[in-house]
Amino acid sequence: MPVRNHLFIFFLIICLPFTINSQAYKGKVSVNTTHQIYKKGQLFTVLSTTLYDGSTGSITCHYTSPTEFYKTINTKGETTIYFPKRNEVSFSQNSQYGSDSELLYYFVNNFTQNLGLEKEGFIRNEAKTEGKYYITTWLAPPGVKPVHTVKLVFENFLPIYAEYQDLSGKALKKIYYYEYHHANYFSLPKKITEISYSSENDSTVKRTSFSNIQTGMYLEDARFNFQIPEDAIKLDL
Amino acid sequence: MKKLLFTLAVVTGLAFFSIEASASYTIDDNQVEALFNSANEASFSIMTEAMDMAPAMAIASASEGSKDALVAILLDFFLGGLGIHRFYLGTEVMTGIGYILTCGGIFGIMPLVDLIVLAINFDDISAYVNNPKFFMW
Repeated sequence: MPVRNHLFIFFLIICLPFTINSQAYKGKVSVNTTHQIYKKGQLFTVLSTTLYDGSTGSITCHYTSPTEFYKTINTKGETTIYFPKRNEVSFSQNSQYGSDSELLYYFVNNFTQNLGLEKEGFIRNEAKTEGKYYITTWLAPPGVKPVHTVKLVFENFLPIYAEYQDLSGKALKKIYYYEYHHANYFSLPKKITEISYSSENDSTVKRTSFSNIQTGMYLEDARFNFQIPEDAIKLDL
Repeated sequence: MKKLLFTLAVVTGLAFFSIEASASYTIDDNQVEALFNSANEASFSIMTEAMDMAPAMAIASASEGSKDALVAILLDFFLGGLGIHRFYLGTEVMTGIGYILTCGGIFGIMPLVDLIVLAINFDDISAYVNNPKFFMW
């Protein structure tokens, strides 16, 4: 066999894994999610389980507490919300905001460079390193009044911090991504804490915790197999 | 006295957050946990009410009566992309539908902006109740 063919096979073997990894994740991911919201001394807790199907790009959320409902969204922005207790269902469609606007989508598919800011019309203004951190700054599109700039901070190529600032540079919202779970094809922060500042001495704190992270091509989960009855009351949005 | 101690605890907790946040880009999750532990677990009724009411609110036009900022914020958190919080606060039907069709988004920027202005004006959200403007802020 000529040397050229050996070289070709060699490069093919070297490059193939990179090609596979650069593609979107085609498997399934399911996570249990706990949302905790703190406001004025009160704590609200919401529990849900979420399934991301990489083959279709759809996301199904099953909220279990405090009230049960299902939310499904696909890449076309077709959203279905079903309340089993009330047997009510609503459909809506918004092509600009499909499942690819969901945070889980960005992490599972390793699209974490801007966490969707670019899609929202933000323009990258600055990039710099600060010690072990890589920091990018994004300018808000016209019309988004309170938010002027968003700062994204990365450590080891993973986002760890985002800060929404107003025109004066005052922080409106800080988001911390931490305790990363490293799967074979992606990394997902097990905890995301958001602090929204409303005044000098007041803020809203929201923490989203992911647990029981399962991945696989053939992940089956009966929790997401729901059928909307034919007699469900349709609510038009 | 109880209220004073509670407020002090909250302010102290938030001060910790600020100090920590300004010092680095990381947060001590133990402090978050402590803050949550210091809080009163809110009755589920308000959340259940908000979530149960959501579909009905989506088709109802603005109803009379005072609006709870907390309910609006919670709706914005979970169903903001569908503009449900706008229906709850009250708006022109077409404005609400236009909002859903053009500026919603599950993690879109519009619910985030709405959330910020609702949080900033938590004590008085009257400016956003029955607000017919496309952008309520």
